Amino acid sequence: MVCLGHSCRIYDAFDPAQEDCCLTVHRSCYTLLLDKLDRTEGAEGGMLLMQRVMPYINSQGVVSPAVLAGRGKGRQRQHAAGAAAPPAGLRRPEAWLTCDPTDLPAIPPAVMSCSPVRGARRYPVPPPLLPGRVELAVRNSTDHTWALAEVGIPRQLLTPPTTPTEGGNHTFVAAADEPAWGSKPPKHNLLTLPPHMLLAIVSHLCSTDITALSQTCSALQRYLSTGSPVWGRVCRLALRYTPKYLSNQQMAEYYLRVRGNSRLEDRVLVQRERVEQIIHHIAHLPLPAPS
Amino acid sequence: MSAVDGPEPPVVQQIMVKLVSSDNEEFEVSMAVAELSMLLKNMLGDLGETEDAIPLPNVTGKVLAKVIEYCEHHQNDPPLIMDEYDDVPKRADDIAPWDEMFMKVDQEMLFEILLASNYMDIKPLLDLGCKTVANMIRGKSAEEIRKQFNIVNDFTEEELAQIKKENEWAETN
Repeated sequence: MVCLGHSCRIYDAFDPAQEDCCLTVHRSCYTLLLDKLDRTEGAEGGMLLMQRVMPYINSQGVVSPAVLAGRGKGRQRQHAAGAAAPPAGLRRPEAWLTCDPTDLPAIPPAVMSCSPVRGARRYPVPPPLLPGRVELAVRNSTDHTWALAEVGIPRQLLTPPTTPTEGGNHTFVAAADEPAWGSKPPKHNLLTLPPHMLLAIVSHLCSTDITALSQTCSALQRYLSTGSPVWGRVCRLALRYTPKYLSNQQMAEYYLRVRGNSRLEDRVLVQRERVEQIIHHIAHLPLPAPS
Repeated sequence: MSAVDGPEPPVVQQIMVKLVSSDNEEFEVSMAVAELSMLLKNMLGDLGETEDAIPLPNVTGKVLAKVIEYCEHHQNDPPLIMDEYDDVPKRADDIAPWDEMFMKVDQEMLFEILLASNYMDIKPLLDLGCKTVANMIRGKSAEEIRKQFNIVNDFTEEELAQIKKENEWAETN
């Protein structure tokens, strides 16, 4: 499995003196871990659990405890060495669950600032993308290499919403002037549908169609702007999953990037489910023996 | 009585339910058909067996006839199992041929069916309607969508120029 996702550095020992003692963990694993630990264990318990979980995470993702169970002494050795590199048995790509490659760098301030143990280092957080930017893999035409580049998305999808507001059950009011269907305009159209039905329709569309739809009139432009609060619900409707810790705009970017790409759609859901399960499992394992 | 005659199979008495549309048109459907609508199912659960007609004040006779046609066709479908990770992501290109033909109606009727299925809480019909509308949008430009759905273009000249400018990057790529 190849992961094109973001990654961020995470300290394997919470010692501020060890500046370079860190390893790389995929963002979704990191976010899920922090969320899990924060919710289930509280701040200090979270820190202890983080130490427990550390041997199971690596730049390739989260390793299954079942795989670890088979490697015997290697685990203790790895733990003693600070988990900087996985043992040879774990270097097989299939041993790892790679994480969601579409994850956006969004970790809430509450999580960013959690530093429960005195003298402990704050979890480093990757720099956020600029508003209205998404990261894409771009191929260099001269040397045929791939690199991550920030790409803008149409400004029209970035207009702040004014109406309809979140969760409203009102319907749009179609523009009263200019009846376009001859003498008898239709009684109903897209703009007269209740918002949840319009969202259900949007959840079947991918980014180019949503862009076209948002360019039809100002009401739909505002409704489908990336700052609009509808994207969490669209994610839920289309993917049965709402990414955590994302702003409206980041949610829109997430959705527009994933939707329509069946490879990403499938991977996102399966990987997220697995990573969540494994983190849940790891969080309940006994602490490794002291070295 | 001939030699092959055995005991007569028991006659299953179908319980029928009467529905009345907003324009006072009366329809009689079997309980199985009526129960595809969560609204009717809950009503019938509360009321028990009743001879009285159930009024549906938000649905006209013409639309109710179409909704009943759909429910009669799908009355024997297996119930949907909704699991957290089932049926995801949603697809709009998996419409059964009968359903596709059923939805070949004018746009006015299509939206009426959508609203009726929402009111009567018939999820499969609502999904089918949403998929059908999504398929009508798919692959079209903003202008084509406006024309299709009678949406009034209320952008100013400046906004239109801005939209055109923003779309240039997509057209050149």
